[in-house]
Amino acid sequence: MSNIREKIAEITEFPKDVVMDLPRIVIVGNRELQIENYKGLLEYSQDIIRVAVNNKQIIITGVDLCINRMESDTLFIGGRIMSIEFCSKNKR
Amino acid sequence: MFLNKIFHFVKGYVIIKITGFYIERFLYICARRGIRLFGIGKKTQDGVVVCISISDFYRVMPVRYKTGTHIRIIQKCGLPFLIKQFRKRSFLVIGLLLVAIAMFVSSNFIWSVEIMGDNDELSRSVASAVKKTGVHIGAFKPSLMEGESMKSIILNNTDNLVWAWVYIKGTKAVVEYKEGILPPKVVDKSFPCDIVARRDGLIVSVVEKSGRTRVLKNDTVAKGDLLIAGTIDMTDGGYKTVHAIGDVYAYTWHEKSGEYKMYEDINIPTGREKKYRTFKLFSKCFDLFFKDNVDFENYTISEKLSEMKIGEDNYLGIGIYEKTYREVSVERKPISYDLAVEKGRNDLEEKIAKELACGSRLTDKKVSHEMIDDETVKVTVTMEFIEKIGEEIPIIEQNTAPEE
Repeated sequence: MSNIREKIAEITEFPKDVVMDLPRIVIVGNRELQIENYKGLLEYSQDIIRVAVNNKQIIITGVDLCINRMESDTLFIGGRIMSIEFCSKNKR
Repeated sequence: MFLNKIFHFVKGYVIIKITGFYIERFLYICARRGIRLFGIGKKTQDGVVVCISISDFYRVMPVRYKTGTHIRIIQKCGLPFLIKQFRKRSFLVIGLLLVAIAMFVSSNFIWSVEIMGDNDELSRSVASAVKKTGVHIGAFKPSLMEGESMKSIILNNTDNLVWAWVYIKGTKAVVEYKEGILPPKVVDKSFPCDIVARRDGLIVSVVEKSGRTRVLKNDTVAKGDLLIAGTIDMTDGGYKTVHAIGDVYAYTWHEKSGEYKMYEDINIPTGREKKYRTFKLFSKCFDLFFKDNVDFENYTISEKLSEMKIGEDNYLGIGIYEKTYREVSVERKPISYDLAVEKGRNDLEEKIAKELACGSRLTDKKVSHEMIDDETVKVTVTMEFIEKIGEEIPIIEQNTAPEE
């Protein structure tokens, strides 16, 4: 299914995050992270934030992490970000 | 971000603490249901602190039951809560409003005028010229004329000014001016005069421009001796009087002596002080004390004026003038013989400098000193200069009536 959507996106030149329902991530240095089109918040602490996206999860590790703002489709994360990792949905 | 804060303040919000096991779920469900959470704090063992608007707060309750979390209100912030708080204290609100209106109205007037300049005499004439521009205490600011017009009025009404400007800083008008350099005075030749010696000396040179020279180089003159005569004998036996002009340079000797002590008094603060404050409101002063009697034997005075202002220099006309008396104990510290002589020499040289004519040149200097008693030294300074010694003395013509 995802392959079909990807091909449609390539043919029509539509943005893939719209067609394939993928998250759009904007990172400013290692200070701010903005995740659009997220599906859920799985874990929230000062060292780790786990965010559910389409069929995957994003694990953000760092120091003094915090959620600055939370909107229905966008998440704004602050703090000192050390790593961003994409994992399968069932990890942890 | 700042506008966001203002928006939240106007709408009102509550700071809540969420505790429980499913905090993440709580946050996510809130986001999904369009409940805006902001200022989300760091998650600790105790829970998470978040801000939520008043309208959204009531929508949070079903989420709370669903996730089994607990919510505790920490603080209520914003305008709606302030209004609720002050509803019963209407007089306070009215008072605050009246003060704000009074401040607004009074800030449209000039409450103090400052002239920035070192020359007191010129500052006084500038102050009187400034009054003609309409800038005075109590002047309505919007009715003041343009800066250029004020400048030209000040310049036209004051001599010896090259530039002036009136800066309106809140309720304060600050006048700055630049003094011009006066052109040399035109010699008034309308009256006849002699040039006589101002003090004793040995003539070095005489340059005569008008009149007859009566002295030569290396002549010794005493104070009052005629140097250049304004009376010129004519060949027909008569005479005519002119305004004598000329430069007469001579060696002059200036001697000064004085007694100086071999100690100096030093003021050491004891730490005790008294402050007297005066409240300044629109050029009126109100003392915030009954008596300003100071029972210190020796003290120093320092003055400070703190004025209320908005921004860099928008003065509101309100301030506190503080006068501080600090007690000092005077301690006598002995100084060396050489230092006392040095002190005396500097002092005497300053005194001699005040007696000199402009453009004098030092040619020789002698300093002698002697002990008078255990703590007094007598210093004598003798200085030799080449200076102009001539001064104009008008000739009073005596109309002698012919004897019959």
